[in-house]
Amino acid sequence: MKTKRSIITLLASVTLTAAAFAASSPVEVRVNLAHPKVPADKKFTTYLKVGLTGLKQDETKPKRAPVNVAIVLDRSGSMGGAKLENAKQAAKEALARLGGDDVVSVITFESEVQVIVPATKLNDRERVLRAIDEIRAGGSTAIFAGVSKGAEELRKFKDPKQISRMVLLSDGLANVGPASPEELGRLGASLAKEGITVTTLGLGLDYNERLMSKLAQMSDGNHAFIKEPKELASVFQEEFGDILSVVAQDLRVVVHCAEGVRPVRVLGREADIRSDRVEVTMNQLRAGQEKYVLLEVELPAGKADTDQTVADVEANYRVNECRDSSKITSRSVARRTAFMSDVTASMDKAILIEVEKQIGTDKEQLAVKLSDEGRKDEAEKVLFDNNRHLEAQAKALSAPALKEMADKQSEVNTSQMAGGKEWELQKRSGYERYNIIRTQNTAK
Amino acid sequence: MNHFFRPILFLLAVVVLPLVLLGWLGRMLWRDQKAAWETQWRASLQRELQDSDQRLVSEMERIATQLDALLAITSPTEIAVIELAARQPLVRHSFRLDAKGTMVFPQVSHQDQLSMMDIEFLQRTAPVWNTGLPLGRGTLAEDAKLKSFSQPASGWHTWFYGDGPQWLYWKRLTDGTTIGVEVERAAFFAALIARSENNKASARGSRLRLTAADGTVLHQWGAFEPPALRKPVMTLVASTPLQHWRWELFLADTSHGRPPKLPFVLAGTGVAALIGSIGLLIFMTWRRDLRVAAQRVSFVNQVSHELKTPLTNIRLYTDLALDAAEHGEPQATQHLSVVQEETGRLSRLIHNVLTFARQERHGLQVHLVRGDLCALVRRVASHWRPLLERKQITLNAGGEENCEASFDADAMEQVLGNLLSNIEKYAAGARMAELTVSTKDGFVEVRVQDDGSGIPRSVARRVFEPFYRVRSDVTEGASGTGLGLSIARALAEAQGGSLKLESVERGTLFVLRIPIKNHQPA
Repeated sequence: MKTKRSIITLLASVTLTAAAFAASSPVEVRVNLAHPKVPADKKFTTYLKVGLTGLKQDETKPKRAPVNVAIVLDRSGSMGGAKLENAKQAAKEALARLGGDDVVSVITFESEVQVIVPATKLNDRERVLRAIDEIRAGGSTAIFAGVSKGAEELRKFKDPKQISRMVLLSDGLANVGPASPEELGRLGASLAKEGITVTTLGLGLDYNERLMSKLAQMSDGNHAFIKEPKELASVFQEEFGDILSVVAQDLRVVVHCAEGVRPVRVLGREADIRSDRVEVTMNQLRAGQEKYVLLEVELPAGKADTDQTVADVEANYRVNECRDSSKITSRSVARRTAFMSDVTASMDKAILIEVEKQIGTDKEQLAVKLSDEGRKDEAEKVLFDNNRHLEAQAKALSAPALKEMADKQSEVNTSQMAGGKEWELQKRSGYERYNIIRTQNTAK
Repeated sequence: MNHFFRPILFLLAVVVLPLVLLGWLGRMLWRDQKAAWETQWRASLQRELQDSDQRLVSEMERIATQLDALLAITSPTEIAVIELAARQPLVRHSFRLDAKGTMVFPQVSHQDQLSMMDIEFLQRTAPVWNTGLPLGRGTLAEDAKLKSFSQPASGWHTWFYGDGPQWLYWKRLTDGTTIGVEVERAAFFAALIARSENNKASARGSRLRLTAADGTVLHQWGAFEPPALRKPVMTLVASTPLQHWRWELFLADTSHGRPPKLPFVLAGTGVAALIGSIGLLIFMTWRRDLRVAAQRVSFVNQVSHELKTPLTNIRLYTDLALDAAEHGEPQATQHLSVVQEETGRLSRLIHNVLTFARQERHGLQVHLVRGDLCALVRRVASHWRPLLERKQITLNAGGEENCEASFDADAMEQVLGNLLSNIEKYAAGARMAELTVSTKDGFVEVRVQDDGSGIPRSVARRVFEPFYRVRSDVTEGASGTGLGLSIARALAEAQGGSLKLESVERGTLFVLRIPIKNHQPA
């Protein structure tokens, strides 16, 4: 009898997908453990992955949800010439993808902030394009004010059914208004609560990368490093494609850990961990995109061949054009085994690779932060240690992706020692393979 | 000496002094005006800053109202309080205190129950709780004692953490417990600036700034970019609870602090011109009066002298005539004719003086009678011929024989007498005098001409003024009252005619015209 039950629970623990619960839902929820089988008679730390995937929408569907986009352009003196011209052109081309029901606003900033196009339905497309054409460069860089005004314009037509997105383009350091990455990050976090996502596009090498990526990360948006102004067009296209393919918003994952199970940390995401309850929020999910939560948990010791309920997972989200949330629940259970070989054999390598990648990215970001603060030696050490760790893990998990990551970081580390712009370029080029950097742990 | 200094003293007193005074007053007034203008201008800038601050305050109030609504939870459960931070953009974290002011959420007593966010919140807000929590009036412990004061209160609380001021917003519920939130500063600030339009600043060449205590610019409005070291033209401390912030106003053009000069210049010039012209008028009148007075004095002297000479001659020649008559000498007649002549001169003089006096009092009266003016001219000529001959001047009378006109015979005799007497007295070096009568354009024209030294052109206009005598060698040694020509012209005009001095190459030519028909209404 005991065996029978264990078989059932084992099945459940491997993949208890929630797809069955909502066949018509555009969101698929998967709950997996890195180690479905855990060693008996000792505490064990493993990772719980909650993945949310946006399903491809029926192409024949006549209407998509209207979007509400604020384009916030830096028109400071340094943007003059090719940069601003390319940005204007890119913005205009991107607007061509929007329809008459979509709302758009254009804000520029330098020493002060101007609303070039107040939030308006895109009926009069010509007027909007003309206004963009008239943008001229000059002055300093008031990023905070630009984002504030952009958010205000988005609020004018705010509708839960809509997707609200701000696209911020800047090439410089904020020098008017609050200018710390932390402050902009807090603003991003606050905007996320309103359902506003900020995508930040950093142009050239002179922008504050930590500020721009923090703002994007905290608002659940994208951040992209754009080396050449001519790349702007494709980046804008990609970003608008992203906006138009959003399938769900206001995603909230709540993990209730079972008794005795201790949630340790969530990798790469802001999370609210309160005793046995873990909550993670995400703003938007695109079709074909997977966003996931990696939760490190510590399981209590127990006898072999017993089940350990790990957690009950609840995923809330709102489908476009609906006011009410949908909810999917799922449970994760691990099986204890006396044999270490069982543990190794059953482990989910993909999850472990993702975990290592995330830890590696965190370390890399820590190094960037340290480097920005002038603590180059510490940054170097972090990168060096991380490199060793990644290489070891690459071997253990036989994952070439980790090796590649290690090599890239190593390169960056070397160039950092050389110092100067080269290091900055290398550092940012590290993200180039994504073009748009998903600052949150996502995969296509 | 008086004649020279008095007018200058007078000018000083009447014109220069008032002008200096005016200038001084003007300067004082200008200074006052400038100060007043400056004050007014500064007040308007101050008002502008206050308006901006007022907008900030009302935005704060709006946010406070919003937070009040969020905190209006009748029975706050832990989840409801947590949700505040999770869902509200303006809320970074939330907390709850019991009636004694002890924190019940986050639960400090159960360290293992705290989330990372709770711990960070407690770290950030440690300064608030360490000082005994003076939220609102006094400490919470004190408030708890005031049970009767059950009115729910709410308010802001400012504390410092990290790079500047942070804000809590709290609300005391009727049961004495307090629920509050840590304001998400970035969002709070974004809301403040996103809704702060300032068209006024944008329209003018100005720059309005909201700065933090350390001088960093929080937000700015207006297109004007002030130079790096430029000091603001006006500053204002923002209202509580933003008192750590400061408003600064920069202007591209600070010359608005001066009143327009033109009205001042115009008024000053106007008054100066008025004073000047009044001074000039008084001065001219004074000069004229002075001259008239001097002329009167000289007139009296002249008249006395004029009276004395014929009288002396009359006495002398009367004695000679008597003497001759006693001795039966034939010269008696000759002497008496001189007496007769001198009597005529005396009579003419008195006649002139009387005529002038009459004219001064009530104008000249003439009795126009039609008659032959040519006959009268011939008579006067024959009367004057011997007198002029004594001065070696030959008098020729000619022209028309017969000419009817309306005239006063006495007046005409006086006029012609005065003109011929002038020749006798003043025409030095003259050998010839001519009296010509002709009729022209309804007038009888009598031309009286001599070939003497003539009258200088520059004084030609003034010879007809009473008491005027050409001051030159012409009148040296000759006697005269300066009334003759003036009276002659007045008499001619009284008869509807005219007397003019015409310019000729040599000598003097007076033209007397008398109308043939009387047009004179009187």
